[in-house]
Parts: sequence; C-alpha cells; structure tokens
Amino acid sequence: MTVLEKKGISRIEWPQILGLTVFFAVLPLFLPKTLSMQILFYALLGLAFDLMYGYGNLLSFGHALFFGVGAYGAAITFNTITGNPLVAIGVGLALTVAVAAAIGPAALRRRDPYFALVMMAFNIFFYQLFVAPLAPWTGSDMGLTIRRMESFWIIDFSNKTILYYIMLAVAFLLMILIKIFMKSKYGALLIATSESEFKVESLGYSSFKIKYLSLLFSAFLAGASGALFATFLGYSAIDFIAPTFNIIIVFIALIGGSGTFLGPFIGSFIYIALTYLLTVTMGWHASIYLDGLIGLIIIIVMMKFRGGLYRYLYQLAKGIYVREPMR
Amino acid sequence: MDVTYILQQTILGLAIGLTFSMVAIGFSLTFGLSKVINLAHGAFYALGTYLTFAAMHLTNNFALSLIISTGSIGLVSLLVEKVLVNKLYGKDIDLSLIVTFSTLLVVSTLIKMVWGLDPKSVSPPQFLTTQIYLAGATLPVYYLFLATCSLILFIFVWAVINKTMLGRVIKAGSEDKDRVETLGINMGRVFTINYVFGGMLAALGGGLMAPLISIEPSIGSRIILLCFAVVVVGGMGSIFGTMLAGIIIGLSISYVTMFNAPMSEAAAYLVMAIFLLIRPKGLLGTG
Repeated sequence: MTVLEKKGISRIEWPQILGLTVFFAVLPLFLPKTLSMQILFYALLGLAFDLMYGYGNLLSFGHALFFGVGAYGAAITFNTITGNPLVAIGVGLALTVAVAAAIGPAALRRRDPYFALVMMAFNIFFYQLFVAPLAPWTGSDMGLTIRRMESFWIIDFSNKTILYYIMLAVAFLLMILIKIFMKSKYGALLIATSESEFKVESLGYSSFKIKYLSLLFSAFLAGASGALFATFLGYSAIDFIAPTFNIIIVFIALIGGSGTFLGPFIGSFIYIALTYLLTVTMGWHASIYLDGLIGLIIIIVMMKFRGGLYRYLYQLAKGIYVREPMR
Repeated sequence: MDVTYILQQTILGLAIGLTFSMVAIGFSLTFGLSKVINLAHGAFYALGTYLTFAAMHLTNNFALSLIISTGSIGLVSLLVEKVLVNKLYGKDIDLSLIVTFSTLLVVSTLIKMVWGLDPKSVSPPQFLTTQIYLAGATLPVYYLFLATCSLILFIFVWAVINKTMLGRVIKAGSEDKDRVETLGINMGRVFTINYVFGGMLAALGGGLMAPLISIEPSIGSRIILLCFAVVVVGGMGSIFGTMLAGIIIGLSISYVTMFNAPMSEAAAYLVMAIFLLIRPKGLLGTG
C-alpha cells in the first residue's frame, strides 16, 4: 500500500497541480475572494463527481448530497458543539463518509440507470429530511448561518484573506490526494471496472469493493469541499443539498471534459461566468432560466462535443489529443 | 388515528398508486424496448397537468381538457423523439440519462416561463367533487374515479401489449431487436410509436392527477423518480409487477402522510432502497 502510494507520488503531474495552485493564489487580485473560492470548491466537487463518472463510468445524480452533508455537518457542529474549525470540518467529513457508507450498498447494487437515479433518490430523501424533520438544526430552506468560529492556534479565522490561503493549501493537499488515488492500484482498477466488471472479477478483485471504495473517496472529496466552502462562507445554503444542484455538478464536469483533471476547473469557471452574465443581463429572474440554459448547453455538448472543452483546447494547442495521461 | 381516516388514506393510496404505475409503464416500456432511460417522461407528465389546467381555463370541460392535453403531448413527444431521442438509440445509457434529464430541465424552465412559479390548481367536474359514505367513512368520489380510470387504462395497456400485433412486436423487440428487424418490421417506427404512446399515457396520468395536487414546475422531476421507484420495485418490463409496485408505493406514501407529511415521498425512496438490497430484480422482474 505505502509502496504503491510512493510510486504514485513520483508519477504525479506536478505542473498541473502547482499551476492550478498558483492560478488560484493570484485569482483574488481579479475576482472577489468568495467567487474564487466558489470556483475552486465547485471544481473539486466536479472532480469528485468525475471520479465516479469520468473514470468509473458510474453516472451519479446525487453528489449534491455529499456536498450538502459536508457543509451542513460543519455548520451544525459550529453552532451546537464547538467553535473549533478543525473539529467542525472533521465532523462534516465523518458524516459525509458515513452517509456514503450507508447508502453505498443499495446504490452500487446495479450499474447505470440504477446508480444515477438511486443516488438522486437518496439525495431527495436527505433533502426532505433536512428541510422538515431536522429543521430546528438545519434552519430549513433558509440555510444555516455559522454563529461562532474560534481562532485556531495562531490563525485568525475571521480574516478572509488568511482563510482563503488556508483553504487553498487544503485544496492543494486534496488535489494531491486525488492524483495519488488515481495513480494507485485502486484508480487503475476503477477504470478497469468501467470497461468490464467481469474481467476485473476474474483477476481476483471484488468489483463491488472497488466501486464502494471509490464512492467513499468521492464522497470524502465532495464532503471536504462542502465543509470547507461552508466554513469559508460562514453559511450553508439549502441549495448545497438540493437535488437541483446536481445538474450544475454534471454541467461543471461535462463541459470541461469528463475524465480529465483540468476539465472540472474549466467547467466551474464557465459556470460562475455564466451565472454572473445571466444575473447582469437579466437581473433577479436569472435563476429561473439558469436550469434551462444549463440543460440546453449540456444537450449540445453531449450530442456534438462529448470530449469537452479541455480536450478541444488541448487539440487546438498540441494538434492532437491522444488521451489524458491519467487514464 | 381512527379507522375511517385509515380507510380514506388506503383508497387514496390505491388511487395514486395506480396512477403512478400508469405513468411508470410508459417509462418502463421505453426502457425495455429501446434501452433508453427516458427522463423526459416526467416532462410529459408535467406538461400534461399544465395543459389540462390551461384547457380547463378555456373550455371548462374536464373530459375535453384531458383529450386536448393528451393529444398535444402526443405531438410534443413525437417532436422530442424525432429531434433528440432517436439519436440516442444504441448509445450508452449514461448519454441518454444526461440528455433526457437536461430535456426535462429545459421543459420545466419553459413551464416556468409560460405559467410562472406560483402553484396552480384544477377543480374536477361537479359530479366528481361529491363524497360518498362507506362504513362510516367519508370518501371523495374523485379517489374512486381516479382508481377506476387508472385500472381501465391499465387493462387497455395490458391488452395492447399482449393481444395486438403491435404489442407482440414491442415484446419481441425488447428481447431481440435485430431478429425482429430481419422479419421486415421497421423498428425505428415501432420505437416512435412506443415513445409517443408512453408520452400520452404520462400526460393522461398527469391530467387525471391534476385535481389532487398543487401544480408546480417541479412536479416533472418528482414524478420521474417516483416512476423509477415503481419500476425498481416492480421489476423492469413486467406489467403486473409495475401495477403491484405502484400500489405498494402509493400506499406507503399515503400511510406515511398520516404520520409525517413532508417525509411522504422520502418513504417511497426508502421502499425502493430496501427492494434494491433484498431483491434487486424487482417483484416480478426477470433480469
């Protein structure tokens, strides 16, 4: 295991990760910090989704569940138990992984149409749980504002600039973690199960265990981005767990190119630009049309440009796109 | 919690369950025949309710409104099939999932643009708004009407699938499409007919449900997951399994409503999850 991970680290494409980190480090010079943070964490969420879809070929319409549970887990812990950010984010992560572990056996029972829609059904289940019976803790559909947040060690969490760079550092670690997972035996096996579960089984691996592990890792990533983003905002919106959020995740992963590392970052950037543009041109009504516009773009991308923007740009730059080095 | 209330909820559960299974059967047939997961089915249901509402506004005749909405959805589903869905035949399932889900969203947005966000309601004709008294319980006639209509339509669908040439072609095509094509049958046309038939059933189900629910733009995406739950519980491609599953889901929704109304739909998904764990192929499913 450790040997494999060491091998993995030596094969990580450092320029991609370092380039992204530098990019997000200078982004606050041009954009508000909240917006840059949103781009970063939506992209990580897109990567978590893409881990299942782009690599495992398991389409999920329910990753908003993990993002939302992470965000709410952190926010509720802040409000009721402790002001310590490490504990709160840890609780958010633990809750997310626990939820994924609980729903995994039912969701992963069968492949495509089942997995996608069962994930969405669980998402709606938890959404309704959060809106009504758990309303005293979750604040129902008004969202939840984090009321207290203590400084940790020497770090002042009320200073958004410092907070931004701490979050970026954590995101940097998460990106390395994704690369390690993809380069490890499990990443290869996940891709193999997408081709043929039967052949993977005949090699002596349990395809269910591989998918289950990937789901847990994917949930961990999504939960981490949710918990971190909620901590940064000081607020957890009901939109984070709403089933309608899923199509945005799909959009982010697909428009940039699923199965690529940089794709979700491009997609996330485009999503934020699109919302901004719509709000500027249409004002308050923009959110009504956003879903439909996103749907329309996804249809066009899926029917005509399945590779996504990243592959298209890569081909434009290098003349040919063979395949993502990770796959 | 008295007995009469339980009886009332049972009849309601049966009625909405049968309607769910009627909507689900089109979804199930499309998947069985053309291997396309048609999430746009929910859009036809939602459009069906909204068009019934609009036609009621114009004509004030419930039966006529149902016919108008079902007919127009027939045309809409034909258009969707010709423009979009027929490019999905034979492709990966995830492609059809994403594309039809996006179609559902586009249609919901169009509904929001035309009819706005606030919920609408339809009142059924006068003679169906009365109540009857059975064993001390008060039962709205509309529940019984809905259950009867759904049952009749269900028998009709069963007859079409099992007793007509078209039904035999659909059943054979679900098993082996290529071999049916070698018999000189244009499967593309059968796919289209099947799709439009399913879409019209969904619209009819939506129109019949319209007086019972508050009509909102999001009903399309809600019904499609309930349909899917019905299909999972009943088993893909089994007509009676779908009917039984519809009743199970409908009853679980109406019983949970008695205790905790906001969680009623979540109960249906819990039933689905349990079935996926203990019997993944469904009640009467084969594969």
